[in-house]
Order: sequence, then C-alpha cells, then structure tokens
Amino acid sequence: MANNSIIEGDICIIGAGAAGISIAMDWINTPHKVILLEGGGFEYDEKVQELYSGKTTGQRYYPLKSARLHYFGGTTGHWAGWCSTFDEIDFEKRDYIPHSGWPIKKSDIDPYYKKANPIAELGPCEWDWKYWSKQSKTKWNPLFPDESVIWNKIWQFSPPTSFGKKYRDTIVKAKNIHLYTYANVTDIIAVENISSIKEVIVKNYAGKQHTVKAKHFILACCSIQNARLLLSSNKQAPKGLGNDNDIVGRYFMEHLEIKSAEMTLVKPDPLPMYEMNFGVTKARCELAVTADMQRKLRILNGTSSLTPWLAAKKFKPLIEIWSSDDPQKNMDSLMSAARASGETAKEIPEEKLLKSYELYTRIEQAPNPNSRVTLDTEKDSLGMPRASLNWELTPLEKTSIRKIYELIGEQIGRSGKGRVRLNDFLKDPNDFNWPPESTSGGWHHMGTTRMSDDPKSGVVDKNCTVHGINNLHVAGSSCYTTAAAVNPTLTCIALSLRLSDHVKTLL
Amino acid sequence: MKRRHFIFYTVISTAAVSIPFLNCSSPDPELDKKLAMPETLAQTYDEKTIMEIGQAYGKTYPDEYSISDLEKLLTKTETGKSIAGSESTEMINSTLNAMVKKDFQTGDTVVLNGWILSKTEARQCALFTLIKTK
Repeated sequence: MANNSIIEGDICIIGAGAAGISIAMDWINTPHKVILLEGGGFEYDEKVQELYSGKTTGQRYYPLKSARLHYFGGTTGHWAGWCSTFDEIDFEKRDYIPHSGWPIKKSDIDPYYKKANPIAELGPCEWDWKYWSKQSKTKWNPLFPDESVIWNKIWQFSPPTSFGKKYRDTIVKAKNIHLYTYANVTDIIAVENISSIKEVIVKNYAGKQHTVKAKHFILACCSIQNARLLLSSNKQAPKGLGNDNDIVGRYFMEHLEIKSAEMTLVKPDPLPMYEMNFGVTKARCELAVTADMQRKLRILNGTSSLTPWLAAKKFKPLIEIWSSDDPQKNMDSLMSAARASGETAKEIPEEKLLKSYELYTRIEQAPNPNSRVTLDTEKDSLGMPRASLNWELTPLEKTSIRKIYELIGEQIGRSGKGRVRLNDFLKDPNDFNWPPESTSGGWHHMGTTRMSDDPKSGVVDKNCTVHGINNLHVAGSSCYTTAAAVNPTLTCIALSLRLSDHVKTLL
Repeated sequence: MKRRHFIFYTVISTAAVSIPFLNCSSPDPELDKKLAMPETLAQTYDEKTIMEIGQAYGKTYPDEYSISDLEKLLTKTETGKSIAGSESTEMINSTLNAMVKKDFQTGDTVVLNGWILSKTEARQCALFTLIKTK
C-alpha cells in the first residue's frame, strides 16, 4: 500500500484477538464493510511484541511484554482454554465492595454465552454439574452434597482454541472483512467537539502511515493497550479520549491465583469431579462459595481447585515460572513444570497421592482506582508512550481468601471427610501483605475502561460505548466493572458479541 | 490397623502407663487417656502433627493448657451431663465425635497454626500433647 493511504469502511475493529475476531466473524455476510486492524502478523514477531514492553510497580507482576501476545489471534496463542460463566452476584452492587455493581445483569449476557461457547469450541452451554456428571465415565460425588454454603462450579475446557489458527481462513476469505496486519493504531482522531471519532492513524515498521475512516470504531486491544491508546490520543483531549473524569486506565484488575491451603482426607479419594487432565478433561468443578454466604461474610467471589498435594507442591508459583520477557520461554517453563508435576504424580502410590490435596484459589480483585495503567515517559519504536502498570491489591482480597478456606475447612470438618490447613501467608489474620514469591495473577487484564451508567465512575456505558463519544466502542474485558472469580475469556467473547449486536442497530 | 494409627494408640497407652506421675494434676488419668483421642485427626494426621496442634493450642489458650482444665472442658457435654471415666472408650469417642461435629456446625472452630479445627478436637490434641510430654 502506498504511504498515506486512506482506508474506509463501515466499522473499524482495532485488534484481532478473541474479542476482535469474534466481532468480525459476527459481521460476515452482512452488507457492511469491516476493517480489522492487527498490529502484528500471523506469526510471533519479536519486534512487534516489543511494543508491549512496559514498567510495572506495586505488587510484583509479570513482565508486560510477555503477559500478552501481539499477533493475529492475540493472547489465545498461549491460552489454556479455561472457561466458565460469571455469576449473578458478580454484576450486583455489593455494599462491602467499593465500586462494585454493573449497569447490566447476567441475564443480559446469557444469550451471548450461548453464541460464545461454540466459538471457544466448548461443549453445550450447560453449567450445572449434574449435567456433566451424567456425561462422565466416573461417578461424580461432590465433597459437600449440601450446596447451601459451598457449591460446585463447572468449568469447561476449550481445546484450547488458538483464534489465530482456527479463524484465520474464515476471516481472510470473508468478502466483507478486510484484515490489515502490521497495522498499529497510534492515534485516534475525533471531530472538533470530540463527540465522535473521525479516523484512526495506523503505522507500521516500513515507516508508512495510513488513515482509517469508519462510521464506528471498536477498540479491542486488551485492557492495557485499550487504556494506553485512549490516554495517548491526547492531542484534542489533553487527558486522553474518554478520560474527562480520570477513569481511563484505573481499576485495573487481575485474578489472584495462589496456593492457599492443604486438605487432608481421612480416606484417599480420587475426587474425579474436581480432576483436571489437560487436553482430556472437558469439564470439571471447583469449590465455590454461595452468593448468600459471600454476602453474609462480606467477601469477594472466589473458587478453589483441588490438585493432589504431592504433585502440586513441586509446581512453582506462576509468578516465578513466568518471569522472562520472552513469552515462548515462559510457556516452555510452564509446560516443563506441568510435565514434571505429572511425572511426580505417576511415581507416587495412589493411596498416598490421593490422601491430600492442594487448594488453589482463583479470586476476583476488588476494583481499586489506584490499581492502574498510565503512560510512561519512554516511547516505543512507533512513537507511542509505553504503558506503566501499578498493580495494587487491597486487604479485602486477603480477608476473603482466608474466609473462603475457613469456610471450606469448616465444611470438610463437618462432613468428617478430612481437615484443612491454611498456607503460611494466611495464618495470621492481621497480616495483609502478599508474598511476592507466590502471589500470582492469571494473566487476566480487566477493568481499565470500566462500564458504568455514570460517566464519573465509568468509561463506557452499558452498551460498551465510550461516554460522550457516540461511535467509539470498547470490546473485551477492559469493560468489566468487577472481575468475577472465573477466567475472563468466555465472558469477553460474550460481551463482545453483545456489543456487536448493538453496533448493528446503529448502522 | 494402619501403622500410623497403631503408633498413635500405642502412645496413648504409653501415656496411661505414666499416669501415676500425673495424679497430682489429674483427677482421673484413665479418663484422660480416653479423652485424648481425636479420632478423625488420628486417622488423618500422624502423631507429630497431633502434637504440633496440641502445642499450638497451648500457646493460643494458655489458661486452658493443663490436664485438669482440659479434662474439665472435654467432659462437659451439651446436655450438662459429664463424661465419666467409667464409660467405655467407644462411648466416650462417640460423645466426643458428636461434639466435634457440633462444633463445625455451630462454627465453634479454631485456627491453630493454620489448621481449621473443632475446638473439642483441638483440646483433645492439647491433652494428648500434655500426657505425652509430661
């Protein structure tokens, strides 16, 4: 393409990850021209990946460069495929969680989970463990048959779907989808009064610059990059686009993933209902706290997975494993650790192996305005300010994890099946520190353009449209108001499809 | 009987042998021997762990950490009727197990060095530890 070309379409999707590709596919065979912009190519490219480098402060975090993948398909290129739905309580305003409460309910997303399931190559959109119990060859016996305190939350596992590989041909062959690779958006230009977007500027490594004009623009670059792009588009709006109220970049959320307790059983039990065999298991359960009990104890939503202790204890915390700038090196370390753990398990007699389980937490981070993405003074090779992440946790996360395991401990004690012991970092109820060597995130970036009806407390409205800018929309987990307990990808796809439907009504 | 359980119950028996030394602080050493059997914990953990729990209980509740006090606390049942040394081991175990279950139901639990336990069984561990170490 000649330098300074102008590309025009009906909608322009910025970013070809799970959100962007899902939306683009939703427009295939429509009369509308869709421009899909991807900063990278079809394969990993070190030079492109380098654009994601950035600083981190606060709680120890993964290197930003390797926490996301920058090519067609996005981070699904190293996705593990874990999927589950949010719960009703995740959308509620909870008086004990500051800044909680979405302007939509789970029922608003439910129809889109049904559409998202096949895209992620999951099984039926069934989320009751009893359904999956019937599909299982082994008998599923819940640890706690009475689910009034602890219930069994179903996870489904994608193969995992690498969106870049799975949907490349679909996108490339679609007549009305126009994919541009190595097209990094570096600026968003609004009309004079900033009530709508006129065009975006695209740059590549060949030194070329192009302009993309469209009726609607959808930002789908992931939480850190969405915020970075809005904040750095500051020629017309000095604080950045959509940032009149200083919300863009704030409320960055992760899922805390941390080894939390040991459950020792009176009698060894394989607990097949909770077993995960990567690449084989289609669905399994994790222990979850009921909504009523969460409200009663005033805690965040979290789940607990069970892995034989003797196998799990050799598996280093994710924050230790994923420490390199090179995502492939990290992935190799992760797979190697997983293999070693599996080999260890094979060597241990079953009676010993199945006597004791590691309880591993996945929990939402409370929305926190100080946990945020800002712009660094250093610029990348395309002239964009780099992202700087300050990951900050609150005492509520730790209190919640502790209470979850006290609850599980009480339930297992009551059942007479065994006992639970908290890990060291949870032993002192007055200690709110997070051990940097074991406190991990799930590489789940959420919340930097959060959803709210009120522009003073959110960047996008309930339709994922940026407040005050009628044709700029945001797709994906950056719109999450709260993070829920479960991994974000399935909901990210579902919410993106909901946005897609909304944009269709605007054309 | 698994080896671990055997060792544990042997320890209890050994403690019984040393009861004459405990007479000054224990009104009923035979009863103490029966009380100091946290049945579920004995099937779950080894003796070292039981004693670790017992010591942690002593640190957290120093006012209760004597054989006579623990005996009093453990023999007091919900109905007001005291457990007597003349009762069989099975009967006493059954009563204490019911108390343990009730503790978990009512939230009468303690967190000792990370272990989430019923108060009754934690006291049993403490009693066991005292008997074993005296």
